[in-house]
Amino acid sequence: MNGVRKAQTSPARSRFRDEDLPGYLFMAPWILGFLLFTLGPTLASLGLAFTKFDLLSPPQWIGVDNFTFMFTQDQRFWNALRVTFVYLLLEVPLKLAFALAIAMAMDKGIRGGDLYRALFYVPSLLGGSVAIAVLWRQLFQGDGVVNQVLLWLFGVQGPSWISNPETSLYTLVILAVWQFGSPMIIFLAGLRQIPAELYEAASIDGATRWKQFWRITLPLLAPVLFFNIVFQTIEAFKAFTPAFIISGGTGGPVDSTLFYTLYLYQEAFAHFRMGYASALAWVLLVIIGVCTTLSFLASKYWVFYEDER
Amino acid sequence: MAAFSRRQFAAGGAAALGMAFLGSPVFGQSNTRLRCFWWGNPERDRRTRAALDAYQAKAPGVQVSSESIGWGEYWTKLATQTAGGNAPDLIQMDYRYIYEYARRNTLMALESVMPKPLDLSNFSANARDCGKVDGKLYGVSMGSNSKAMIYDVAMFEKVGVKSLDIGWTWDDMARIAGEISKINPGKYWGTGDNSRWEQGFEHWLNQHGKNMYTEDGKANFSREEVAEWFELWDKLRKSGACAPAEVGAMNTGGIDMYEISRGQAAMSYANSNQVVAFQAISKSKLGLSVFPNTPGKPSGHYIKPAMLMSVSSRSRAQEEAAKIIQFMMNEEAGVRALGIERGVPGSVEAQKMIAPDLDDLGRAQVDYVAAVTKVAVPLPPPPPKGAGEIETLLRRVADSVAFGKQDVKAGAAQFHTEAVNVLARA
Repeated sequence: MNGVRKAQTSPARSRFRDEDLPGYLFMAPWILGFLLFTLGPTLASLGLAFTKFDLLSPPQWIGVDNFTFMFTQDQRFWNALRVTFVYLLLEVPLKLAFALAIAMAMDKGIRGGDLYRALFYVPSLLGGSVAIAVLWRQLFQGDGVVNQVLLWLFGVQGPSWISNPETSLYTLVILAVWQFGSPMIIFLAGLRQIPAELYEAASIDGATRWKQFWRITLPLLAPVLFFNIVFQTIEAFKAFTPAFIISGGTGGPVDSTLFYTLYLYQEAFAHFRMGYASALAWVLLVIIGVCTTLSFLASKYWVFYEDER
Repeated sequence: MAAFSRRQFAAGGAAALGMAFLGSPVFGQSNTRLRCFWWGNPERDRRTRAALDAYQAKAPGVQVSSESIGWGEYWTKLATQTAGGNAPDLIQMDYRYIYEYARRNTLMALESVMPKPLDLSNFSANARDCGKVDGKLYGVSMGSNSKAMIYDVAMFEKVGVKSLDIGWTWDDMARIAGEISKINPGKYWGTGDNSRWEQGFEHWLNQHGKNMYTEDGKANFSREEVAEWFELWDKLRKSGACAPAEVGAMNTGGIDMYEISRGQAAMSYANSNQVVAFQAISKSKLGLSVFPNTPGKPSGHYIKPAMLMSVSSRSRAQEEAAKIIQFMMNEEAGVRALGIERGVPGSVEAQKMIAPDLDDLGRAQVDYVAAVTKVAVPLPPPPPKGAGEIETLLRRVADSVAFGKQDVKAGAAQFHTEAVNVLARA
């Protein structure tokens, strides 16, 4: 018995050598930070998801009540999900199409390409910021720049885009699409990997540009496209700042910009339902997990890597 | 010279450290540090910081750090800090929240620091007692206010209205607003949309002899009453007197977002002390008046503390905090620095101190509160927990009615049902 245990532990002991110690020491700040500030609160929120907790009095255990209320009675929860999915389904394809189109134009080597690349990337750096959201508010309000241009060009008096529940969400979609910089850079890197011979051979065989795009560019770009889809989808689920600023934290008008994250924030920090907000956060985690898994499963049918087959 | 040697570095560091100690005036003195936290606007920040600076100048060794933020974020931050055992020493409190905070033992009962250093003997009984919870004093009223309609004086004069009678009615309002809307059609309206403000609805209920919530925190209104309220504003919108939904929906609650501040309507609905902050950002001259009356009914206005000042029960400088409140409420330098921005002071002496500083609007505010006091209804019990959520609920439902997404009846039913649920769940 003793011998067996020794045999089991010795390889583990030999794996940790003295010279590893500095390595672990250097990693310690990150590991501690992760345990204390990320993993700890995350696990705590899992516990809180089953409680009623208003910050000032101690949490009360209420079992799965938060979840039953969420799924059976909470209309704002379902509305927030609807808003988030509409936003995501519009924003991700539009942004990626835009990013790909610009990347292809840049790949052709237009003059001053580096400058344009930098310029196009700027919105991605700024886009999540408060200042841009405030600017957006100014652009799309009743007497904002957008309406002034419309009036000047077409003589049409536009509505107040951000304070009308029919159009407010689309201003946020446009704001997000405008931040196409980071997927564009990734597309550009992908495009540069595609061997030029393939296009030469195809044009000798008489393939049109259109055909080349569908038969060469897109299939060879599939892994990059897939990465961008997964990444942007997760980002879209997490979108918060623009809706918060543009609606003044209300998700209004009439909850038309109530993103899931904004609803979660309101429940936690405006209505002080920390337990319920924790439950919402975990449901969001599961939703993102499911969507990502589905994307990976579906990718088997359309994404092929060079080292496969 | 090449790189800095280690010895030079150490010597320089020691010197810098020594300088830091020498340069610090409070080194060696007993040093009391306090934090003061309030919600507000730039005008209030300026005044409060001036008062705190004046206090620190006369009390060496006391350092007060101050922090301010908008109303919405204030309660988030205060709750988070309180829960984390890190509440500020001096806490600006609202009538809406004082019961909740006091009953959870997060505020200090002030009897132990009265009458010295905190002396409220000059306060009127009403102004003093509004800070009491279960018989003990947890907050000092920083000034009284009442709801007030804030209007653009020049626009009223353009349609021939020189002054408003305290008994003016909803019909008067509809007529005046309708005429103002004709001045610059489609761009400027007579009145902003008040159907979406919880306290506007509350006022209308008070006018009909009811409080919005019962003593035990339940909804004290019927869906028919909600429908009547929505109907009132629906008519005003349809007649063109009231700004349309798109304009109303822009108002997310900050003073700069009200229709009158954005230059889109001649009337907005707020609290009397806020007229100072409204005027600070407005190009046109503003006036204040009671909300429109329903003939033969009570005014619906009550006098309440605009805000209170409380001390954290966990503060390590409670005595000093009480001295600061005393300075702000009773001593000339403090009282005059704060002025009338937080409402009309509760102490008669303090009212005299600020009198020479008042401009027209300041005097109008004092007169207003005095006039309303004569027709006021009793102060209702503080709104229950969950009332904050009702505020956002009403805004959402009223907007959906204004945008025509549902009719008045459906909107009223939705608001009533959800309000009852919110209060039950809070």
